[in-house]
Amino acid sequence: MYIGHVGVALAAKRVRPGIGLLVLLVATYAPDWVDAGLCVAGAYNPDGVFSHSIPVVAVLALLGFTLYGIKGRDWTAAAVVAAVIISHMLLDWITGTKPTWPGGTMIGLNLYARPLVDLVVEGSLIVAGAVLYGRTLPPRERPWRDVVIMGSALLVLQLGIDIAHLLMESLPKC
Amino acid sequence: MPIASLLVGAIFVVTLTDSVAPDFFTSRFYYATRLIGAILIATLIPLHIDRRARRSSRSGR
Repeated sequence: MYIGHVGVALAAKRVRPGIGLLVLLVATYAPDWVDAGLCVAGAYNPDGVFSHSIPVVAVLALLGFTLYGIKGRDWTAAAVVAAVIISHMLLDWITGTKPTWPGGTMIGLNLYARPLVDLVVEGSLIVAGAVLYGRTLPPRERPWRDVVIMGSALLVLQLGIDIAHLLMESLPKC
Repeated sequence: MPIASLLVGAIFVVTLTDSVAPDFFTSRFYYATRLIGAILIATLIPLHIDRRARRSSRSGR
């Protein structure tokens, strides 16, 4: 999943408005940041064993929970941050195929093979997230305007990625 | 804003398309930069829109 992860971060903002959106965005892409680091280091695994498997995501979630809990002194918010990190793995099981654990089975629906279906699924997450996010904004004259801007900008990005998937057979991450 | 989004979207597609990457770019550096750039775009765009929305709501009161 690509931009659909942002939808989860936006929805989490509604669950716990006190959490900064930057924290939620970093949390929602945490396994991908690990992949980026592994890519730079030359230790990248194309299956995502060291970034997207259940034990690694569990460690990342525990790390996020602990760091945010210690810094923010809000353990409920820390649990939301941890849940957002875990959501990355669960959503990737819908759109791609990811390892359960090192040497374990690969699971996932692999919607990337059907870019239009992927667009519908990720687009739905983006729209739902943008609507929920809109409720965290202070009251104003045109409350829908920022929701539309947020939703449409993210949908354009997602559309770009799905077009790339239509044009290409594979999109290597690293 | 829509033009900027379209522009970023177009750049996104071009950078994701391997056929435009010359041989010397098909290196670890190219892929790492592309991956980090993609995550940064997906992070910074909603963050920028959020900051702008909250700033405008404050000044609009």
